[in-house]
Amino acid sequence: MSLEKKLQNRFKSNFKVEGKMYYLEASLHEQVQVLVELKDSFSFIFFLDFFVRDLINEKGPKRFEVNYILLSMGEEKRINVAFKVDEGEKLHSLNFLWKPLAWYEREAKEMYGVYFIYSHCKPLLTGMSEKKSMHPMRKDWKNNYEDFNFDIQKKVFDDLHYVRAELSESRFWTQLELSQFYCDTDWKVFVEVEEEKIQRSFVDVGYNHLGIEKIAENGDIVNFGSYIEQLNQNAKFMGSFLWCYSIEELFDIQISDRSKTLRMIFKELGRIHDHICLLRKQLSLVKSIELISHCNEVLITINLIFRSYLKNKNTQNLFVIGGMASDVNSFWVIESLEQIEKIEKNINTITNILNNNTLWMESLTTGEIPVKDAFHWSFSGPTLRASGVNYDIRKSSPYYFYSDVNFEVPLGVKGDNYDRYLVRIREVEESLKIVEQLLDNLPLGKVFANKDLYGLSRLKNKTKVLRELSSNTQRKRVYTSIESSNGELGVSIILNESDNVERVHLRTPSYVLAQSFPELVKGKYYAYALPILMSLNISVPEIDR
Amino acid sequence: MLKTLNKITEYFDSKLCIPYFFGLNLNDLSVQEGIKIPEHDPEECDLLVVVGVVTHKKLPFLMDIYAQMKEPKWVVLLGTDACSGGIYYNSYSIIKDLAEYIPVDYYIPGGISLKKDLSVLLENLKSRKGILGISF
Repeated sequence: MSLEKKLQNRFKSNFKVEGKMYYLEASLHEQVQVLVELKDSFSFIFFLDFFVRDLINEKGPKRFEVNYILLSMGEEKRINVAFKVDEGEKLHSLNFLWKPLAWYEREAKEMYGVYFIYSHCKPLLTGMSEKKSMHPMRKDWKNNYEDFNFDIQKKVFDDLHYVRAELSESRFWTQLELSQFYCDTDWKVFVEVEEEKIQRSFVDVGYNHLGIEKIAENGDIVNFGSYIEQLNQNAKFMGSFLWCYSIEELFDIQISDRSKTLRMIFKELGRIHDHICLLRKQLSLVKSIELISHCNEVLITINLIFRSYLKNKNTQNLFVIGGMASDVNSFWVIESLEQIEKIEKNINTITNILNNNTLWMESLTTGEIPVKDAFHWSFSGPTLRASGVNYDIRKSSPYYFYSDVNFEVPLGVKGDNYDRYLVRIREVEESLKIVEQLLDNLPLGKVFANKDLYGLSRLKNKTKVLRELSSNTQRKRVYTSIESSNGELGVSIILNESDNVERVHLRTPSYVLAQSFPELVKGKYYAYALPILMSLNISVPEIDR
Repeated sequence: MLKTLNKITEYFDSKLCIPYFFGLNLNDLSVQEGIKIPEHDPEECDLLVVVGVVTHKKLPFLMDIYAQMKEPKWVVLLGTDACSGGIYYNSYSIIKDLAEYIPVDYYIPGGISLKKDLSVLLENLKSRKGILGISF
């Protein structure tokens, strides 16, 4: 029996299928039972996302809706499980099933006032005090600056310095020096050290919390891609790619083959850009100036390709809903093929020196992540693949032309820092292959298939135009995900009856990676903390949002 | 944008000393963009240059740095993001007007490109070596 039929037999009318996604509704008193059952007997092992929604405008009996998104890797299906909660009711904390829920639950309590039993509920992102009930993501919340608490800095230190009296002499707290790679006020990582080994550590985030998801609720459906792109500036084009792709999925809009291939080219170039940026950071720890200059050359050539595409235009966004910002000619294709040869030469020199280099291997031996832990923390992308799990969204559920392109998915064995480096550098080679194949076979035709969509951002009623085009479906919600350079980058969009945005939630890979850091580092030498943190490739705005 | 920068540096002609950049990673900037700015402790600095959005959680750090700087001190907000929030003006967690917390001397609106505008600002500072007493 297939998974769909099994689920239908078990949950009857509460189970629905919309597009690629499964949706399930269950009552609150079954919360733990249903989720454990899904994990154990329906193979939904992998946790993807969690978010809360305010139902005040729908006038139902209950105020909030809590959503869990899970993934079954064998069947390649994603399921959204929803529970309705009223104000004052308490949910069970499911931290024991999936570890990353710890931060998600804290955020839910902070933003909506949804409480969990047995969970540590200190505010995570905003600087608000714990006692006052301020929940900015609620629909009826109004700006009230006076209620923010400004003494956070002292408070954090007070909590941290609590150690048992016997240990207080031998242990000491320090802050990891991240000033080489991050801004002073991006985030803070505190470490407690005893005899040069790390006992406890603590990650403090939220200094750049911008409330993007709230902005999306009030605003514009077309231009939100640029907000997502700001989250990871090294991984170029990923954010706006995701947004355009998911809006087109939601309204069932077809785009031309030419713009599909162009999008894929830029996305793969963005992946190379991010991996090389990370490599440059890691090399600056070892201080090898020659190789850093090779990395810089690669980044410059990628930027050249991008600039020659957008010759005279002032826009930053390459991707527009319905197609691309501008068309290319054959000169551009020849030029960029030459540039890619240059990139290949540079990467060859890098790999010749670094692969199997004993000094380089010694500097990256630590930070092993066993497969079990990688699943438990729901890692994705290169971090998961380095521990030996063969999962890539481009292979398992290919979008656009990824099924027609030849490429391999590199895997690691142990999952240590060196494995992660190898996986990333092999991925760069593979995505160069993909770009070459796409440039050779660039299909003819127009970039914009629909004339109505041209200049959409200048129109007033954008969603009306989009809805008229999608006469086939009346879909109101969607979850789409792409293989970003860092892991699975996903977004769930929910529209209300008049087709305005009701809720947008981003599933960002760094959110999970950052909160796993204390456990990865525990019991290891203090000197290894920074290389491990580097090799996870965390971009801080992705956590803060 | 460049014109206003020149005007400001003229204004500070005789007095200006050492800038402190809040919200910029100077190490990373030298690697990525090739602009080399020497780092200073806030106690040495006179001019506070704020770049990027300031959130409520960030504010205590900004206030700390402002309190540590030596008198007389000036504050410049560089870019639309620092002046009024930029594209995040709708958000609940950002500070729209920093002047409520710190006396601000100059607002420089507009999108900043780090390579052009920062280097112009720095060159203007460089041209008064004798008074500044710093070796760039």
